[in-house]
Amino acid sequence: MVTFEELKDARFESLRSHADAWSRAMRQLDDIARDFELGVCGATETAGWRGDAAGLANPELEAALRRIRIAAVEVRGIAAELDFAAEALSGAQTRLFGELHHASTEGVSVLGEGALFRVAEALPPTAPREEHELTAVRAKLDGYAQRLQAILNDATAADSRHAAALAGLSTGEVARGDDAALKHAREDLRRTFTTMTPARTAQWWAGLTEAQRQAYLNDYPHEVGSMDGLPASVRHQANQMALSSRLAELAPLVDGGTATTAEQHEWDNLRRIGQVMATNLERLPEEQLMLLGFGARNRDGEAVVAVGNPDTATNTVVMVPGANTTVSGKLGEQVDRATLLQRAANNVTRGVPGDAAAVVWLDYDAPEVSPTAFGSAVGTERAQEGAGRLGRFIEGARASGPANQHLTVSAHSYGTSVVAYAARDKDGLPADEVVFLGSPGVQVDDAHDLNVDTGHVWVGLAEDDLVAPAGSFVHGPLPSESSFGAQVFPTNDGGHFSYWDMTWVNGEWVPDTSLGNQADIVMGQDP
Amino acid sequence: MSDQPPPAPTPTPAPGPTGVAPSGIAPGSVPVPGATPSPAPGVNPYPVLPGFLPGIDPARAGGYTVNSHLLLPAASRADANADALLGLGTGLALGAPAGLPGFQTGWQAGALADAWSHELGALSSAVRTCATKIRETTRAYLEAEARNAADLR
Repeated sequence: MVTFEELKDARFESLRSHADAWSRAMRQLDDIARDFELGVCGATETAGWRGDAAGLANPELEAALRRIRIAAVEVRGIAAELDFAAEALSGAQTRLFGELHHASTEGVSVLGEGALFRVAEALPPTAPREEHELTAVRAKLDGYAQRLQAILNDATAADSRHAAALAGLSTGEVARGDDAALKHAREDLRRTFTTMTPARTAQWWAGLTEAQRQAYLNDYPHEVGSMDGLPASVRHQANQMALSSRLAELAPLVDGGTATTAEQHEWDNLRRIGQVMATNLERLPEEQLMLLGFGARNRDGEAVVAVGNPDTATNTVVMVPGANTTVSGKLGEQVDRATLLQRAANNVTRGVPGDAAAVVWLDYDAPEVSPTAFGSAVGTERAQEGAGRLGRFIEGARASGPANQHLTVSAHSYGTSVVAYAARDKDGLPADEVVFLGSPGVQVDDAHDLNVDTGHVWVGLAEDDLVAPAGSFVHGPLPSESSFGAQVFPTNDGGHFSYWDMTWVNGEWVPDTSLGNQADIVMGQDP
Repeated sequence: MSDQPPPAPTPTPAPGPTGVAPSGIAPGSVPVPGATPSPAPGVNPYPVLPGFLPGIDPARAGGYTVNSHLLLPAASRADANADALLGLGTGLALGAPAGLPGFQTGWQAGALADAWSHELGALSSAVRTCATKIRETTRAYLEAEARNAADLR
């Protein structure tokens, strides 16, 4: 437990000095890894060294290079973790000093007494006081005691959390030195960047200088690009850098035929993301794409892509796709749907372009379904596994978006289970509207269980959507049933994938009923 | 008329740039009198020679190619990397951050600095070993080449 005296007297600048030293070490390790790869491994390759000796030397050199790389990744994590720890703990100290300042202006003194502290009147009056005066004084002193204790509790929790995270960044992975150790080191680094809540991340970023932000972008592009709570523009810039860098790493492996199966899948997925992002050249300014995340956690890949700018849009919808959605196979289609919804929403308020953004959130392993087998879609594991990340993303969107941004989460098919699991969590989803499209059931019987005002839980189910009812034997009652208690909005016919259909009216393509109604909801209007 | 093409002629092995595998006793090794290897299937009968990449064992060195002059700069780079790692490890011996009594984070930061300082030293040694092996192996290649050239004069 951090005591009052310890927090008051702590000098967190020493922690920052350590973080700086580790940052310098991180850059040097990067340089050494590069130099070893080119100057040692590359040079022996250039020497045309073949034979028994070379055959035995190469694995040894590669092992040394891998150990240097693991060290570089782990040290990266330590530098960031120390920086985050200094930020969190000095933040608690600043709050403590604020309370002490207020206390002194109100004639209250706070004294540390060993592991405890005592709150008292600085100059108690000598004359007797009325009972109501004593009650007021006691309430004031209790208030200070409680607030100070809360600060100490927060500092203790932060101290424990960061110490535990640092303990996890030990040297063991370097000593192991194999491919699995390198993968673990990268996971450690990712974990470091998710220790802060999205709201705290937003505060942290806002408090950095421009030079510090640039350093983080340069040193940790993929980690920064994945941080929920950062502005979309920052994530986009970071992810573009990280995507290019990763493709450059994979290209020689793929071209040389030495890529593993996982690397080949990653290459296919990242190339597809690159192709989708390249369509920006042909897109309208208010329909530009922003890359808010990508990954290779699963074989099918992960991608989060915004149409429009969520940093400035007053209305943002986050779309969670359903089964069979893969990056290499379906990202383009998902972005097309998001574009149609964003455009339709923008047209709800004609004359105000760019006041809507739509985000394709494909950061979970969507299950595979074939006409003859429901496979993983009959289970809820994928939904539960993705729900936590969706919750963080929505929290981050709330923290980084404009004040009073109208936020909608819209899910299709199996994606509705992901949203439901995220919403029924104790903290719920900080969304203004929740939309279920073609839902086969959302694991709860009542809209109240989603922790969202049931007047803002919307359900669209096409009359000829045969897929959704078929899944309800696994996922619970259809949310379109009246007993569920959600708002059911009119839809057009066209089956399970008709919710983004356009229709030809009076010589032009316009959103059909389902899409038009979704656009209204996204813009905060009743459909 | 045969429906099968004639067998391709067996290519004559082409010597590498240095032509012939190193021969003789590798420097640094101590031959054990009477320790003739007794081959067993699938088992390398030759001990790994300390200070050398095992493949340099003269009895096992078969066909190889190398531009041995290009290996020496690689050894130098590995030495420089080992020096840099050693310096980095020394620089990270920071101890615990000052002014943080009672904070687990401070204690952990100190412990981590000590552990990593030691680990980077170990990594430096591993890289130094790579440098030494490349250098010694290259020297063996060059000496063998010089010896073979002298024999042919």
